[in-house]
Amino acid sequence: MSRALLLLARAAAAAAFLAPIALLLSASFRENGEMYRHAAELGWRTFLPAAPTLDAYARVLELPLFARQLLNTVALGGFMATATTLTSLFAAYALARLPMRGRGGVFGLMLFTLFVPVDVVLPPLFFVVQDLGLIDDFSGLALPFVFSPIGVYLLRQAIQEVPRELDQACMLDGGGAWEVLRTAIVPNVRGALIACWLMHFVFVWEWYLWPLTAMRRDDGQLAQVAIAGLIDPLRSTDYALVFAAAVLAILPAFATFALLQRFLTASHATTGGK
Amino acid sequence: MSAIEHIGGRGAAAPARRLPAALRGWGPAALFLAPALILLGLFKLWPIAAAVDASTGVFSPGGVRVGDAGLANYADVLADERFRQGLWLSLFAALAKVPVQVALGLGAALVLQANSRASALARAAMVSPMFLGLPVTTFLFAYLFDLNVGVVNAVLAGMGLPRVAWLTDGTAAQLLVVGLSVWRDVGLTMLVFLAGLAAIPPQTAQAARLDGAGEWCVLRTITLPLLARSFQFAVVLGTLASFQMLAPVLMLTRGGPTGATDLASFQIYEAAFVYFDLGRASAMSLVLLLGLMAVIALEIRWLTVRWTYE
Amino acid sequence: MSDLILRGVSRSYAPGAPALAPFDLAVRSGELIVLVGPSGCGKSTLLKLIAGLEPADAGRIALGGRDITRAEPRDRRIAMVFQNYALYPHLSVAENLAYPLRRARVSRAEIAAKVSATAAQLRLEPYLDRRPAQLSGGQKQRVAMGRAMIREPDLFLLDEPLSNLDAALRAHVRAEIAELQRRLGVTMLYVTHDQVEAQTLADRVVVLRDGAVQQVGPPREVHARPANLFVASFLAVVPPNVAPGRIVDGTLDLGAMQVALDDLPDEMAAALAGRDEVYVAIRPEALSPAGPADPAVLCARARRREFVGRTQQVQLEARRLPDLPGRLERLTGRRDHETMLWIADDRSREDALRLACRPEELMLFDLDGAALGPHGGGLV
Repeated sequence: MSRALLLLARAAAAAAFLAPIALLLSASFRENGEMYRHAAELGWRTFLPAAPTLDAYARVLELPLFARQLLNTVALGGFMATATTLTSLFAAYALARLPMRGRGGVFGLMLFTLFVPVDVVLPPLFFVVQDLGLIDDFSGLALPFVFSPIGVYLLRQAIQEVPRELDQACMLDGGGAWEVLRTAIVPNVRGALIACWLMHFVFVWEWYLWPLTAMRRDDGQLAQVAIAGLIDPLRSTDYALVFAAAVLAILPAFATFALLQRFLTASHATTGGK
Repeated sequence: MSAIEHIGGRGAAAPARRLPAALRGWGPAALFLAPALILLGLFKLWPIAAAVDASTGVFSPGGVRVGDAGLANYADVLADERFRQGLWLSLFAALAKVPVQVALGLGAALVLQANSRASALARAAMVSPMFLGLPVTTFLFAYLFDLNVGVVNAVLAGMGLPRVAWLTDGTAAQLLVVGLSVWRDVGLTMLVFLAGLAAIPPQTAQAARLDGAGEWCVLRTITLPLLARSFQFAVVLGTLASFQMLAPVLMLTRGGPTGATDLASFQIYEAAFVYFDLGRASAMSLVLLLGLMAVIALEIRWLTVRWTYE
Repeated sequence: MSDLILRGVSRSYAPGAPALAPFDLAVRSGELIVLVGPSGCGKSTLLKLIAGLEPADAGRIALGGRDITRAEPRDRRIAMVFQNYALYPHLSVAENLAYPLRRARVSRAEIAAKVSATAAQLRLEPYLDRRPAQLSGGQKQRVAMGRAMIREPDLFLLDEPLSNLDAALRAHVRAEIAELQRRLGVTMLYVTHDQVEAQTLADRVVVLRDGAVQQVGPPREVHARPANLFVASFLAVVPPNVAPGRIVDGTLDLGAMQVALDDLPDEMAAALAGRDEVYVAIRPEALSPAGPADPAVLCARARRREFVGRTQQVQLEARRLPDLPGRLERLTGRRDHETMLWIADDRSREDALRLACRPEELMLFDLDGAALGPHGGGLV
């Protein structure tokens, strides 16, 4: 393909994907009134605010519960990422290294649950959690999703690439299953562990349906539901407020990702290579 | 004597206690698998079982089971025109989303696979929508496509074209929901194809070029066939994701306008959390689940790959 | 006619770090040329340039009278067997073989005929329906060769074809390749790092190091008259003994050996005129127990013996003159010059040895490693 065409394609891809986000950012700096004022014409004011203001951000921070809700999301994100990574690590270790009957079957069963969409399981899951008395509680929010088939898949893949000689060396030194995991396996799957942690941390930031259903207290709510709650379809919508809230909500997640993502390149090599 | 005993002690299984007979075939694996399996059983398998159980029941408006209905719920649900329409809409949504998303993702992967800084930036841009979260994305698109304030309509009007009421026109609403879903997930599809491309040894394409294949020919006869597994993965993932269009529907259209986005998953949500008709909701869930499995099984069968690299 | 002519072909990946220095070579139709050298010497790069898989920075390439410097790979009429075979994993063996013919739009009937003929020639008939992943290394290699042959190309390129095979198979396949080339009479460029393959297969051998040609010529000639220390050390079954030498008062002194210049052949003595320091190489096979009248005698002690069959490799301890540290390693590409070797039959047992070689067998090199005297044969 000619070089110019390729360049055009790349630019188009970047533009198509960044444009909406850029517009979101620009909208967060607008004053609501002016949005309607310039809506009829097509000028630069359609895309950029005429008088950028931090008014929307100030109003977000004035909301009584928003900061609390962001904090909930950070805390829950950290907890779930850690719990999921640990659970997945143990399960993946068992599936990859420890002898047992029906290994393939168990793994297959785990993958099968991936195919069941959340929307379908949502009602019965709600009632199960209700029966356990965990609705409106953070543990009710977290526990159903601590088990992650993707996490198990990812870590199992990574563990399979660790040479068995390391295990055997550890076993010769008198190590049992636990020591082998701790000294031979874990140091060598660091990239995958971090990828798993990050993935599940980000997942909590995006979470909408389940928190909407299972957490009915506003002060226990998470970021996405909180933002959605700012949208009131009946009156004319306060776009700037919602977008400012969205930007503020993304920042912690983005910061964490940016900080930890350099550990990912190694893991990309393991998951993509074979 | 003691030396031998010592060695013998080291070599035998470390825990002095023995596992119950039922777990004997599993050994230490059972311990490590326990947390995952318990959670799996409790929160994935039990709900499905509970759903199957609930689907045979009659429920009061308070959510309490008051009687048995046998298979009556299923009969009702399958006879319900609205639900049948909802199933059809879900399938239709998948048919609209998956080919578009796979094509765009494949194209992006082919065009952006180089190692250059420009390509890396473009790739990061394409993956960035994932960070926004579905609700924010939904709202963003609602804003962009708003009748009065939206950028899209402003551009249309500026070009002299009529404005489109995206949220109140049936077809437009469908396009909007599918469109935003594709926008969000294309990045992931691109990653799947990039991984597939990375797995192709560069010499294979070189050999083809020597054997007389031009660029398009290499793409058609070598690259695309070797991406078959990625295709399979992307199609299945996309199909699964197409059933996650519930959030935008809940936020924006609530099944409207006039039933254009009245997906089966929306009806299930309504039945369970608005009307508390658990029997019906469970029956609908299971019908949907079976439909989904059938579609995915077909896709997997249609796209099976019978060769490996090594 | 498929003569290959390369003039000034060069390539570098980073400024100042050439992967291949400007390279000239003329290959006659039907010749088997072996490009040999250690890893990273540029031999695979050269193949890619000839095949058109990478563009040359400079120079011209002509095949069978056509200038193919700018031609697309598919227009060059060149076939290549890659190191990892590069078979099409999603196609069966028969389809792999048919692929080039289908690109050339050959009729189905003809494709079928050619595929079965090639399969018969390479004993691939039982595997025609299998996929590459189901084949052994040797079978994959034959499919790769078949796919290359089936096009009847003007030039065959082979990139280390034996390196992925186990040792037992290697000698056998090597012979098959030689036989095939002879029978088809096709011009072949064969790349390897194994000097045994180079010596046994080549009509002419090209020795490369760090992107630069060291010497070109028939294997026996290159072996007998290496152009420099690197070639002498590389193209040898057992690496030659190399020692620094000083010329003092009409004598060439190696520490453990002294040879009067008068005892050397005239050309060699002439080459040494006006020099104080040289390097001298002696092949282990050239040494034998000294008689009383031998002019070039090495005094050494046997340090270690390794018996192989009816011969033994004796490691010798011998006096050496001091030398600039590292220079010899750099020139020969090998380490450990302290130990000298002698190949003897299994009867020798004495520790104190007097070994002689014929003066003509001494190979002389200057301090830059270039051959002196009759060895200065070099580039063709």
